[in-house]
Amino acid sequence: MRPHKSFIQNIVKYRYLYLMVLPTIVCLLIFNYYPLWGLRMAFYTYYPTKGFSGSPFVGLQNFVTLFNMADFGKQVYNTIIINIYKLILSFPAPIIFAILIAEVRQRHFKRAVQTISYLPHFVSWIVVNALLYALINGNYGTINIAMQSMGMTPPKWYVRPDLWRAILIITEVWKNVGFGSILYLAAIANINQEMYEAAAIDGASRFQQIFRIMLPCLVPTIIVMLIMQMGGMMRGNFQQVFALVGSNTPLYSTVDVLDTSIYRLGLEKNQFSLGTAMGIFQSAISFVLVMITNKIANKVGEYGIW
Amino acid sequence: MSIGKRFGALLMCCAIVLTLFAGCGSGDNPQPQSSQFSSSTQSPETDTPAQPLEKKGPIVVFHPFPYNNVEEDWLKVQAALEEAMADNIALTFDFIVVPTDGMLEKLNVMLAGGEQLDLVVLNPGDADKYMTTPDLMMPLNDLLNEYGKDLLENIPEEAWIRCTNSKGEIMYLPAYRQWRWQGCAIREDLLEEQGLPIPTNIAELENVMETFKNAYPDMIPAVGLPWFSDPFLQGSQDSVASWMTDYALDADGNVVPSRTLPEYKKMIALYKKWVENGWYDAEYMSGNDESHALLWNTGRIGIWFCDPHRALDWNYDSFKQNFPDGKGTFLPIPTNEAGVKKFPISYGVGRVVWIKKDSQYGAEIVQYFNKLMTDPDFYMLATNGVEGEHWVDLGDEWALPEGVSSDKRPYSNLLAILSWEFRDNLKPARRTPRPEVDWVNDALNAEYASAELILTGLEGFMPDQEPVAQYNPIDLDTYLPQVIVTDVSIDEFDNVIQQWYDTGGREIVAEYTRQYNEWLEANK
Repeated sequence: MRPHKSFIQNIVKYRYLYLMVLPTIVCLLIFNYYPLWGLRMAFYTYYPTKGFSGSPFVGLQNFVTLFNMADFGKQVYNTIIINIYKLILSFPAPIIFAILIAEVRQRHFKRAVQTISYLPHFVSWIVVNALLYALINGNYGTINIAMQSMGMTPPKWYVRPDLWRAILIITEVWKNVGFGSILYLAAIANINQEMYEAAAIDGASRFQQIFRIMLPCLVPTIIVMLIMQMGGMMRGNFQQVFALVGSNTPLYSTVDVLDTSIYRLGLEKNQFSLGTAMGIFQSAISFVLVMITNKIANKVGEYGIW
Repeated sequence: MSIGKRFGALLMCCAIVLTLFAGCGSGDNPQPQSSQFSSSTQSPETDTPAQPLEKKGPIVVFHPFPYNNVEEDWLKVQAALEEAMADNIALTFDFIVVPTDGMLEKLNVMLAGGEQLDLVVLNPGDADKYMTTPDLMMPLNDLLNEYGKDLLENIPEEAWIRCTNSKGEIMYLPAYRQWRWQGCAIREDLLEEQGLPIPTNIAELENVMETFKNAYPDMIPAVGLPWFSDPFLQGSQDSVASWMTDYALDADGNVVPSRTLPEYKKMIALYKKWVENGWYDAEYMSGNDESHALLWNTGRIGIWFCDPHRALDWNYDSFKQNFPDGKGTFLPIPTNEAGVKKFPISYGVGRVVWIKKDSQYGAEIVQYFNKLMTDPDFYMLATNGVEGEHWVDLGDEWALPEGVSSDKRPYSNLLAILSWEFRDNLKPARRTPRPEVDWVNDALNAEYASAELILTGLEGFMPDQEPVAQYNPIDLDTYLPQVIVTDVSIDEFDNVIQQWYDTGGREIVAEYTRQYNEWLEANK
């Protein structure tokens, strides 16, 4: 059978399904792939008033300028180090939380904890900033007042850049641990209960069942999430940093990331070409990291996404 | 596949397509009409009524200062204005009114997206940032000479200097109001409680801060943002350098950002000393006018570097609610060691408009502002709104309608865009006397008028930023506050400035100095 005939036959056979998905593909092409053409802005000194035809083509000059920018190295370092911290601290948190939830036997309590844990995810970072400011601002922050009442000297949080990576991690965990555990809870729910019963018959304790059954069954899900996390290694959480740090420049030395820099370059300083070049740099590195991680995952146990 | 499933699939497909089109949106993009200026077509020789002029526009105006204006009200005023000029300028408007926060980002997105824009309203410092984009702004010299003579004649020369670049091109139309907004408010009642006079120099101010710190442990002695405190304090340091002064001449005659001058180190050292002594809020960069106003109104600060009108007038009622016996006043400009008060020059330009170069309506826009200058009724309509609805004519004066307070006017100034203080006497406002706040403005003006002007030597010169757009030195706004609030030594200031030079600043200085020397030569 000639392949193209079976392809056409396939199209005809499932024409209504293809018709149903066609608008989505068109959307994807228009809003996701067509805008990629605008990335050529990174190779021009782009002036909005002149458009591409009037803007000079500069090749890789924007990338050279980017790598020579005074703060670029620090922003790359901050982005990577914050993501490493998140990988170590924020990535396991939903897994551990999901396991703990799964072990709760009391149904109502379990549901209540799950629901309450999901709620912070739906709180905007702007609101989180307001909450955080109410807690730690040096003038009337609740935590500061509590510390003073206990005879301690509270730090001036908003001028202590050394504390802010920790604050970003803590707020990230608080906000996302509940929602992030949903995927793992679904995976845990799919584990065959007979394995637990067999293990119990063989005398395995609850801990042993977690480590010998639950975790190994979660590995494929964890690997997939890890690959996606590695793909975001060069991406800061723009919303979080922009909302919590904003224009508080004393904190930039430790928490100014590539994403906020792109925002400032492009939207505040009108330097679209440089901002685009930085974005391409981010994406290129992320792509390489995803490929490497996927390859490693495949080699280790065929857990790769593709 | 059953008919039902086929039908369901088709229905879902249609729903997705409709959602797609709905999401794209249609917008309202009327094609710009002809911009040929024509005078009234009424013929004096016949009785045939004049044909109304063909309406031009809409002129798209980006306006990021909405204050309390309500859309419903400004549309009424807009309609009235368009009717009032239907037989001469015949403009129509499309105002894009956005919140002030994030205004530059919104404007940049519009510019990058190629959206139609004719007129942009900004602060002059923000407007200067757009000088680096070629072919963005329309030079206005020819248009002003032809259609804006009254603007040229009536707006003071100092305002035009601020709007002119080094090539002699007038790039903006200015508002004009000598409104001093950098200063300091202080709790006078607390001074009296402590038996202290109002401080007149830095040493006395520091004594007050130390006294407040000891006497009122729950209070932060002083707080404020650098664009208020720098200009207020720089005279006491005999410095031309401050957050407010963009450029100055260094010892070798080079044009440099003023904050890179060695004398600015004195200002940084002053702030650092204040932070270390617990006199000045170390977290000042995380605050804003609103959060500081809250601190003032709740008695958490004793000294507030701000626009004194904000503390003593606009927040007066809120402050008095919490402290009926509380009293505020403004600090006089602190003197230098020789006992002289100094304050940086102000061009009186707090707001400007620039016309986009590809706009077809440059002539009409200049005519609009010229009409505002020459036609008192037109000016009253644009600044105060519709008579009878937004204001009441009292003959020689006007007043707000009963029940409308001055801080909650549903329409004020939006379509006038630029206000000129010398037009306030057209028909003065009758204000309900409020002796507790009415004294503030005149007293402030008198105080600032008593100070010597700090001149940089660059008056009349505005560097062209386009040739240096490629250079990206470190951002001084990021690094200098770190020297103040962190544990680094004050000598870190020198390292920061050196870094600035090493990362592109040197090239910027060379280019600006070259332009300045050319300008000097041309203006001999």
